[in-house]
Amino acid sequence: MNTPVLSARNVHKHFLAGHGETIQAVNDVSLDVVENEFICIVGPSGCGKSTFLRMAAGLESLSQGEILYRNQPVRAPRREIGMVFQEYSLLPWRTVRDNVSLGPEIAGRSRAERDAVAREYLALVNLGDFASAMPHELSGGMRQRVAIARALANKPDVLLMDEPFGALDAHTRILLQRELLRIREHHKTTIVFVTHGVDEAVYLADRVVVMTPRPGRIRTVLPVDIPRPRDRADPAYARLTAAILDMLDTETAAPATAKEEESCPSQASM
Amino acid sequence: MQHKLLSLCLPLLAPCLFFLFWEYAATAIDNELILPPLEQIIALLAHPGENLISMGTLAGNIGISMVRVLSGYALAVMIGVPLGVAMGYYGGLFRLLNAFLGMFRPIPPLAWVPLVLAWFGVASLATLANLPRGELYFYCNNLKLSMLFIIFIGALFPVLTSSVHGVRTVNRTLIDSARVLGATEKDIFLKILLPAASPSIVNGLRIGLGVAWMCLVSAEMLPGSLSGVGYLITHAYTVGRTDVVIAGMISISAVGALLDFGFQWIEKRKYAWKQLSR
Repeated sequence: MNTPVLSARNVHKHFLAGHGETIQAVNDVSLDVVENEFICIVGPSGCGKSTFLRMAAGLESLSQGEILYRNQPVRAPRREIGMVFQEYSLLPWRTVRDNVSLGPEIAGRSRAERDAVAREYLALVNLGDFASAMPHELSGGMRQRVAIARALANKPDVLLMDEPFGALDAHTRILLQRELLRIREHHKTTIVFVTHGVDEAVYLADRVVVMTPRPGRIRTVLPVDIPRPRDRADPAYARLTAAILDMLDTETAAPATAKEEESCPSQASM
Repeated sequence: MQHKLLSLCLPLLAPCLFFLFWEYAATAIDNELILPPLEQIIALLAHPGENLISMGTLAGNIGISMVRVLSGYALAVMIGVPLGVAMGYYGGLFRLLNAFLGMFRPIPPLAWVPLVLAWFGVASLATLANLPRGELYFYCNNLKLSMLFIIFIGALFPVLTSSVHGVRTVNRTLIDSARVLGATEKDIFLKILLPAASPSIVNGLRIGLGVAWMCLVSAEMLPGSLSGVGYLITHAYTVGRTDVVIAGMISISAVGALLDFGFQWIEKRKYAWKQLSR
């Protein structure tokens, strides 16, 4: 039970910026994620947390160190490691149903099987009635639920989530956090969830990984020993949230280069 | 209701005024060579099967022109779309070819005429394929290589540029999200890149066809041409039939608009998602 599903060992990542200087994005990150664990990585923007997640998905190469999925190095994307992106990840020309069944379609399943899978997972995220809708007809929160259904429909062993609720309004975000925990009840999965919301991390995670600003390294890993469903008014909850915020605060007091985050070289190349 | 009627009539106002002015001017000038009256043009357009100044009929000439445009255009599409998609996808190929092709882009198709004549002369598909004299020879001899080249070069760049642009601007997240689902390069190409780029590609096809059609007159002015709307216009000018010139121009406009409308219809029906998902 306690063998790590995903394991990062001394992972480094540097980019070559346009003007020829190297940018250290991730610095010596080591982390073990065990079966069915819910990990949240929280840190200021520009700390390389998304880059780390992309490396774990096999979408980005490592500069140093290794990331292992069940003792095999991750070098390219694989079906066992799913990922949910922040937004605009649904294919806008496909119906919700055909978006959810993209994974089985790529795997070469028949139309009937694909539709059955889509029905099952849309029901799981409570969007059974929207199978024939187009993505642009849905609200932002519904689109992210479809994105989650699509990732799960591929039956991944680990689910990586890159600020999946980051673009949603505060109320919808809270609803989706609750929804995600409910889905996880039905559907045991190991989750690594990147966010810049401390409250979100404390609400969701078994363990919160706090990162420092660039170059991103792990500052500390905090277990969240509050039983679910968690109550935001619980003093323990508030204490933990405040402690993490405090940590991030002292870190960002140093000259921050947060502005550059949105244009990580890898993202800007196309 | 009244407002709706007004907004329906508004686009008709300018043409009506234009035709009124035309009638007035034609009567005032009273010289068919400068401006023939409207009804004379309408009479010509109403009988497209009538033989004009021994150059065939209006309809027949339009038909020949369309075959030429579509042949040159088909060639441009067959080369432009695959090359553009490949250039959009493979950065190396893009770097290799973009500057090179950029050298040719600003050259107006008409500027190619002397060179094209030196290369191809009056060779046609018929002479190229060495067809025996006969009906097929007659038709294929109308497809001069020089004309096809001019039309091809005019249509190529819009088609190519839009294909490159379409593929290059595909949202990275769409590609990544397919890759994490286990997609192969082929899946990404067929299921992500092509559908995502197709609105832009189709838009390029539409612009390319418009340009191809506009290159028509210059292509049909080339030696060896004895038919086509472009030829009809220039020949009618030399024999002083201004009414035929104008009727030819109106036919070009009408056919061009019709072709464009076809593409617009496709874009509206198939690519509504592009407008709606921004």
